[in-house]
Amino acid sequence: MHIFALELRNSWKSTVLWTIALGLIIWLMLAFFPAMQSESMQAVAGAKLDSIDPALLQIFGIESLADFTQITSYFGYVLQYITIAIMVFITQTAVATLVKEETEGSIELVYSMPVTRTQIFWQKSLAILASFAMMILTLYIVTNIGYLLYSEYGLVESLQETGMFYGAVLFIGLIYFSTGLLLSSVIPSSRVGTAFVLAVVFGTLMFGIMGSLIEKLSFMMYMAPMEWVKVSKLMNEGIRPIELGIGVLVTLISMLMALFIYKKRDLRL
Amino acid sequence: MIQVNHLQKYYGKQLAVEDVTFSVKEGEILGFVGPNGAGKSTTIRILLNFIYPSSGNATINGKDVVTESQEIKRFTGYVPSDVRYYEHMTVDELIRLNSNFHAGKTYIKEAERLCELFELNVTNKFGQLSTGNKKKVAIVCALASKPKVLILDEPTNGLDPLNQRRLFQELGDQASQGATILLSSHNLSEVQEYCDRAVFIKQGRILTEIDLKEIQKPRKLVTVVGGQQIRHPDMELLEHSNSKRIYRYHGDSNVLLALLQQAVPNDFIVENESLEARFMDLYAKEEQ
Repeated sequence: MHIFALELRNSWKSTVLWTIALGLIIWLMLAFFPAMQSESMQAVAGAKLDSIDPALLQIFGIESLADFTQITSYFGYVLQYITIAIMVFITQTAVATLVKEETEGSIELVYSMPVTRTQIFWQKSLAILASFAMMILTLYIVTNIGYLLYSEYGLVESLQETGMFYGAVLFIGLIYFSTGLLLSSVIPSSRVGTAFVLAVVFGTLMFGIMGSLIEKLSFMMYMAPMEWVKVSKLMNEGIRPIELGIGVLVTLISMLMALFIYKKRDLRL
Repeated sequence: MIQVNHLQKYYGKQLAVEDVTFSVKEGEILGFVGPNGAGKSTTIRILLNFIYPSSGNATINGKDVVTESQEIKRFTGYVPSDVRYYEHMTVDELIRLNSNFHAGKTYIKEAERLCELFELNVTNKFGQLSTGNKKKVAIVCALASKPKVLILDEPTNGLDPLNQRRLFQELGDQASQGATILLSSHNLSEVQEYCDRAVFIKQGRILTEIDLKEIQKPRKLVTVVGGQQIRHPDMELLEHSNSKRIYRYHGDSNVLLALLQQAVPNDFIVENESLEARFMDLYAKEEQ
């Protein structure tokens, strides 16, 4: 597991920085929640929300849970932006996983050691997933502390509710991770990685918006994992079996294709 | 032993290596010589499974470079031409990383000796090192496991003459203990001095193979000004301009003196033909 340890070591700084940044945002937003419960703030928020077109509210995922005096609605609103950031992080990390070593040349060190490409692939993947799991766990803990301090939720209630949210984020994170990994096995250089990351994350976000607004394009919702985990939807129906199936299938196919391509192609030096 | 058989490599439609065949015996240092873009690094990268051959095959100690790459790397050390390791790691950390994949304690002990020999400060971060010191790190990492096979891609690039000498001393020691060494180089004088054989490659094709022990009995370049033209089976006229003739001679020195006496030249110069002169001659012929 030396490659696993090496990958953890190489990626921990970026993971920690992202976790701190997102943790702070979550904390600040939750700390602001008690203010949302005051009558004057309710009036301001209500007036603003009332002036927005229902279609736009739908895009922002607040069509059925617009009551920001409820922690679930309020945090759900915050979480959808946090989710976008998390998906950018995991896709970006996954895209860099294989190709970065080739672009920077360090693959000549790694692959001159007695390891197979399959070992490199799986150990790197596991390391990234371990980092990702740690990030989600940290954000889960921060959110629960925030819930306990700034809402009237009890520990069990809070753990259950946010557990469902972060479990769903973790699940769709796997989809973005495997897609990123597949890209990492085919793109010529890590320098073009950012463009692909933005295309994947914001492309699927756009699919979701179009799918929710235009009836004819509603099938696009199946290509928009971030839509699957909007709190308003999670609270009503959770992740549907079809979404679960698509997610698992995309993850498995992407990872196996990435491994196949990585094993069969020349390393770019 | 390294055995390369009819290796061919295409990058898209571009042919990089064409029908390359050569071998390196146990205890031998083989110089792999050629200009930039000749196919040296491509061949080496195929041997290390960084890239796949389009056709042909190669084995190292009887193991196939494609299917048994992991086993090969257990006993093979590699020095890349352009050393690009993890910039944020110290030399010591890089050595320890390598030691994880080899016999840990023995590796560290040998690496310490080599660092001392090459005057390498292990506390420095790799990214802060000069090109020469980066090369030293790669050399230490490759040699510390005392590999049975060593593949070095232009290992002296960036090294000062003193450390070049130290490196070849080490390589000589390893070869005398039975290591198989493939050394790619531009530097013909170091190939001539330290290698047992040299394989010349150009535009992906092997041009010739020279036994460098044979070159110890060097051919001579004879420059003669004036006098009659010398005709002898061991004498090859290379150039003739005005009254100056340049010959290549590969025979007995006493016979040469007699031939020069008969030609009655105004002046003459006799010098040993270097590997470099052969290289230039070989490549000039190839150009024609």
